[in-house]
Parts: sequence; structure tokens; C-alpha cells
Amino acid sequence: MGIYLVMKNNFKRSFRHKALFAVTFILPVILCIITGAIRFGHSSIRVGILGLDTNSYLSADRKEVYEILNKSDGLTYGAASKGTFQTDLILGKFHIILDYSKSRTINSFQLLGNQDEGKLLQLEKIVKEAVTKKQPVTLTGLKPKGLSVTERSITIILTLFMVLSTVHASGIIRDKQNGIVLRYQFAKLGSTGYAAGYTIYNFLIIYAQVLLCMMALLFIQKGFSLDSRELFIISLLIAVISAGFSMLICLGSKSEVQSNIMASALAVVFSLLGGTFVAIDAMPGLLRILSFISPDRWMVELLRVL
Amino acid sequence: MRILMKMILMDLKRRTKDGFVLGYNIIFPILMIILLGYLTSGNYGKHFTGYQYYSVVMLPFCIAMAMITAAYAGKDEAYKKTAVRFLFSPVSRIQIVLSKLISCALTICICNLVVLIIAKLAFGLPADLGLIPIFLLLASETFAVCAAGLLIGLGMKNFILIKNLLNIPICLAAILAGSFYPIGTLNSRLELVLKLSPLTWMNRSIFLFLYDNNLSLLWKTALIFFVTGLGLTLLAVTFFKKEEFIYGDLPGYEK
Repeated sequence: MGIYLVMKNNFKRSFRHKALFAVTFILPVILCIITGAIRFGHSSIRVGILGLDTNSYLSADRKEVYEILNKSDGLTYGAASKGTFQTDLILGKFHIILDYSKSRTINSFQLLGNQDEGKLLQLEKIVKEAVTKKQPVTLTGLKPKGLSVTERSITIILTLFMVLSTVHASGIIRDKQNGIVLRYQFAKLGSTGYAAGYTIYNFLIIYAQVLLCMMALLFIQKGFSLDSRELFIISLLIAVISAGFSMLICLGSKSEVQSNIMASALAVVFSLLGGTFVAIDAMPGLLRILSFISPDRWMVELLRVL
Repeated sequence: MRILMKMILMDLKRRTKDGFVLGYNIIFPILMIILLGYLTSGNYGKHFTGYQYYSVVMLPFCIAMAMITAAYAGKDEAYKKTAVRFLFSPVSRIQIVLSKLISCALTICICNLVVLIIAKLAFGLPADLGLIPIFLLLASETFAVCAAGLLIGLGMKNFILIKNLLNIPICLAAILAGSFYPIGTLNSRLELVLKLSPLTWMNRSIFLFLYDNNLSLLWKTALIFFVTGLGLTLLAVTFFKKEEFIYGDLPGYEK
């Protein structure tokens, strides 16, 4: 009964300020849709071309290079600038750069990249061979297999909701500071019940938000696909994990600011360990083991099983 | 001026005694650099390492998160029940805002400097041209972020809502800026979206300076952040709300 009363009271408190509630409800959904819709780690390899257009020795051959790159699958290319090429490589605009500034033939370029030397040599060999034989460059398979569009969007949504649910859950810290939890305990109801009621209230809000977010992504995100059973299970799990996570953070925090910052930091760490950005296969051994603690990884594994 | 100095010193004491602020601005970025650098070690070679990448991108992100700390600094007097004393004393609202702004910005700047030095010594950040321009850029971001935080903490009525939602756009801006993983693109539309994040400009400025010896963007970005900071400080002074300063701690006050 106590749990139900806490939940009901929280809904009442929220609905008393409809405009405020609408903002806190809708804004996270919009943000999640935007973030979920960004296609991180697209499978194509981005190649930068440096100095080809300005190199007078190659004026007759440069068309050939562009034709070879045009024909190559899984590869996009663009002109690199002399003044910014290192930064472009670091920030991922290009994975590799074919430096033609000192070349006299189209297959004597220098390959630039931040990968280790062995990998760079392998890439250089492949590209030079293709350019010499005037065949398309085949670089697919060199990138470690990452997450699919659906898997990545779901891990990002989970990460965001782990942060966002703390917004609603942090109210319990305020209630503690204002003595509301104490009053609840005076009514011979344990503080666990108060936390449980708060968690259920939080869960219901997040579940509705996640469902909305997922359905929107189904319409707008190319490559994002879930059947109704998966949609139900995954949304439910995201809501359960987020509500549980945020409540644990809030119960362990002294202030709201602490809970908000802790939630953000931990959610990011879990997301990274879960392979949202770096493929688990590409991680060092120790982190591959550590990735088992990440709910994001379990979510992806579950999605694959489903 | 003497009063302002006293207030700054008092606030500085408060900030430096706050273990959470120091932990979040020194220990957290270093831990993240180590974790993320190790995590992505397979993606990089010996010339440029993941530790160097995250040494650069983690600092602007942590500074942006300090906006929440600054917003709470604006509520210090309300929470500690000392606000009324301030209003009875011959202290202007400019002095209140400036003391909080300077103390927050100074504390975070010192934390940045510590992390920057550790990044240079431990992670081999190539700072042949010196760390001063980077430090100045980070300082200008700190100034703008603290001013924005104080505007929220002292000048906005629905503080609870804003500060709760604050970490969402900050995290989104960080993702877009590649603070967790580089997400460069050749797609012009996505590139435009990435450029909307101020952290993208911060990261790009530092990388251009360190690896392409290009300083021009760094100074421009620093100047924009500084001017934005000045504007936000003016707004924080203009929109300073006495009621928020005194009763900002009361539950439901924002209602």
C-alpha cells in the first residue's frame, strides 16, 4: 500500500505542473531520437586525398585515381587540406590519407594514418596494388565488426535514459532532505517502500518515453528494425535498468548534483565498455572481460538472441 | 574592491574544500583518459595514442559539465542559509555574481592546469609550442561555462528543471564533438550537425594547434568563448533574482 501511495503521490506532484511535466517528458524523447538517429561508425572507410589536384606531375593521371576510388565499395573519399590533415585524421574525418604532394606517379603516394605501423603497411599494400592494377580498392573487413544500426541506437538510448532517469529519481534526495522520507517512516512504513514506490513511478515514466522514442526511430531511422515482441522486451528492459540504476545512484548520493554527475559518468563508462563506440573485439583483453559488467553489452547480446 | 576580494577568498575556500568539485575536475578526467585510452589502444599506433586523444577531448567536456557545479554555487547561500546576511551587508549583486564567478572559474582553471600537466608528463601530449595557448582556451571556456551556470543558478526561476536537464545537452554536445569516440564524417549535413556543438570547436582548436601547428582557430574560439562569457556574466547580473538567492533552496519554490 505504501509503495502505491508513494507512486501515486509522485504522479500527482508531476501532473500538478503540467507544462513542466510535459517539458521533462518530451524533451528527453526528442533528444534521444536525435542521438539515436545519428549514424555513428558508419561502415564506410573515409579516404582523404592530399596534394593530388595541385601536383603538376599527376595532372594527366589524377582522373584515374578518382575513377578507382569511385568504383570502390565501402569507401568514401574527399580532399584533405595541408593545414588540417593531421587534425582531420585524429578527429576521424578520414581514416587514411593518400598523400600525393611529393609523388611523381599515381602509385607512389605516402599513406598517412594513426593506425599502428603494421596495419598501415597492410593498407598501403592493398591501395597501391589496386591503383597499379586500376582495380577497385577493397578495404572492407579491415575494420573490426561493430554494432548494427539497431544495436547501436539501443545502447545509445539506454545510456541516455540511464542519465535521464536520474532527473526524476533525484527527487528522492530532495524528499530525504525535506524530511518527507522521515515522515513516511513515522507512518511505520520502511524507507525501502518509499524507494520502491519512487522506482516504480520512475519506471513508468521512462517506459512510456522509451516506447515513444523507439517507435519514432522505427519510422525515421534507416536500418533500425525491431518486431513488436523485441520492441516490448527491449523497451521494458531499458526502463527497468534505467530506473534501477538511477535509484541506486540517488540512494548513494548526498546531493542532487552528485547524483546527476555520477549517473552521467557511470552511464558513459558502461556505454563505452558495452561496445557502443569501440567494437568489443577491438578492445584489450582486460576490458573485454570488464565489458561483462556493462548492461549495454547484455542488451546487445539479448537483442542478438531475440 | 576589498569587499569583492574577501568574498572571492571566502568562495574560493568553499570551492577548494569541496572534494566532489576537485574529484570531478581532476580525478575523473584522468581516470577517463586512462580508461578510454586503454580501451581504444588497439585503434592507434605508437605515433599518436588513444591517451593523447582523450587527454585533449576530456578537458573541454569536464569543463562543460562544471556548468552544473557553477549553477549550484549560485545556490550556496540559499542552502547554507547565509543569503539574508549578504542582503543586509553593503554588498552589490555585481559583487555577489563576480565573487562566485571568479572563485568557480579559478578553481576549475587550476584543476585544468593540473590535468594538462599530468597529460603532458604521463601521456606524452606533444606540447612543443607550449601549454599556455591551450590553457588560455580552456580558461575562456571555463569562464563562459561558469557564467552560464551562474545565470541558471541565480537568474532563473525554474532552476530545478534546468539543472536537471542540463547534462543532457552537454552529453549530446560531447558525443557530437567526439569526446567519447571520434565521429568524423564526409557527409556535409552531418558535418554541419557536428559543428553545432561548441565542444567540436574546442577539440578541433586544440588538435590543430598541437598536431598541425595552427593557432588561428584556437584564438578565435577562445575569443568567442570569452565574449560569450562576458555576455552571460552581464545577463547573470541583470537577471539576478533576490528571491532565488535567498529562497532558492526551498522545495517547490520554483513552482
